[in-house]
Amino acid sequence: MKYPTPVPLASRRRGGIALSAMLSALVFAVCSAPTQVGAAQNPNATAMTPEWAAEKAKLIEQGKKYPSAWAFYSDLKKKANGGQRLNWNNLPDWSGVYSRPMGAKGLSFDLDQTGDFPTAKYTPEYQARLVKTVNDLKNGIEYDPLSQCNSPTFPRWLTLPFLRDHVVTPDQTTMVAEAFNMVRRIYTDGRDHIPEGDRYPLELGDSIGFWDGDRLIIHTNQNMAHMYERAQGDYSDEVETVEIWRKVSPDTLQADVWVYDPPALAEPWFARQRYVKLDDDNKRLRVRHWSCKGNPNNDVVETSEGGSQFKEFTFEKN
Amino acid sequence: MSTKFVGVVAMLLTLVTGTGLAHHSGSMFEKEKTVTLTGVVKEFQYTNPHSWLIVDVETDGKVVSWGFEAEGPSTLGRAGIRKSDFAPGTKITITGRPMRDGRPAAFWLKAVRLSDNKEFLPSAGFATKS
Repeated sequence: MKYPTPVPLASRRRGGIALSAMLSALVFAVCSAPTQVGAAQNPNATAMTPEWAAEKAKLIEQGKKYPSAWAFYSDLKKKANGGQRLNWNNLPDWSGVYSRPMGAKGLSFDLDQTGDFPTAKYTPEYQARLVKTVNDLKNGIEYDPLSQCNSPTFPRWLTLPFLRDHVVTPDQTTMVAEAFNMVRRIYTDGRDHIPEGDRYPLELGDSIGFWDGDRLIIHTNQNMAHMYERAQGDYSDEVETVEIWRKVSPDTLQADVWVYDPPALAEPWFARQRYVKLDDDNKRLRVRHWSCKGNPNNDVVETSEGGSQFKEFTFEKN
Repeated sequence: MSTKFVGVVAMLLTLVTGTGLAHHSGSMFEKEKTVTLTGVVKEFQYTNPHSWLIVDVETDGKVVSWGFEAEGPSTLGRAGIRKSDFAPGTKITITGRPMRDGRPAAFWLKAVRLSDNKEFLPSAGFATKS
């Protein structure tokens, strides 16, 4: 399934995007006054400066030029003349322990989100699902499959706020998220995806990529249907992504992500992810194995109303 | 603790408690109400995906064990909360959002160790420097 030709829709929405970006910039400008740091402001959110608003609008439009993530990725690869293979002497330094900051609305997929709803444009079916989720949440009804330690899957993997580290080698980049022991492997040795007839949904999909200078460009398919985050909407198992990763400062890895998912999204969803290198002067940070079954007090089940509830606590038994 | 850092922590408390815990929804806890109790640490279950600080609280001669839930060890470590900070027998005053069903458990917002009045804010573990 592909997106329809986007030109007329893009033309109609351009004005709306610009207005929305200006309003967002105004809101962030007001909230970013240095003397007003407090609960209403999140210094970790991407600063919605006028420059970023304009750049983001271009990045959104860039994604809409392509009918699929694969078409976008293939064009990026063509423009990079296939990319450049790293060697052991020119590997970028992505060492250290990183974490994803929260946005103004917590664990939002798009850190620029400021209202109750994510910045995605969903299809009517998926929008209705999202509205129900948001309304249920207002009534205290919410359940997350992660409660049973199921995989967060990809692209939700991008939002996990816990520890992460990265291993860059010429033929493969390995991205480790501590939470749920989620390890992505991005093959950069020139291999293709698995042939279409042999594909099946995977918790973290199948990722191939190439290097274009200091940018790691990734295409991911074979994903599983899941949610971006709580009250962030769902994706289908047709979801595919293009990511452009780059170290933009000594302590910041940035990933520009375009999500294509025709059953769920009316148009590709762009969001910039950031991962910040944590101070670790005393060398105490560790990316640990997670075991969800070690403490029975963490057992959370879904209620008949669709909410969440703990089972019996061990500490109640005195 | 700088004014800016206090602001960041306050913001994170709002975000984390408002949207729930990272592994499961926080909808089983009260949204607005808090409970503050003084008691003695019985056990610090320093575990993934969530840690539990078990506190014995005496009321009218009866001891009830309360559980206060927070994030796992890596996030608590980032907040400067070590397992050794809450050895059994440590006297504390602790604040949390209680369970909606009345069971003796809460989402841990803040604890103060009475021996040195040191504050422990678990949600500070989500802070990043930029």
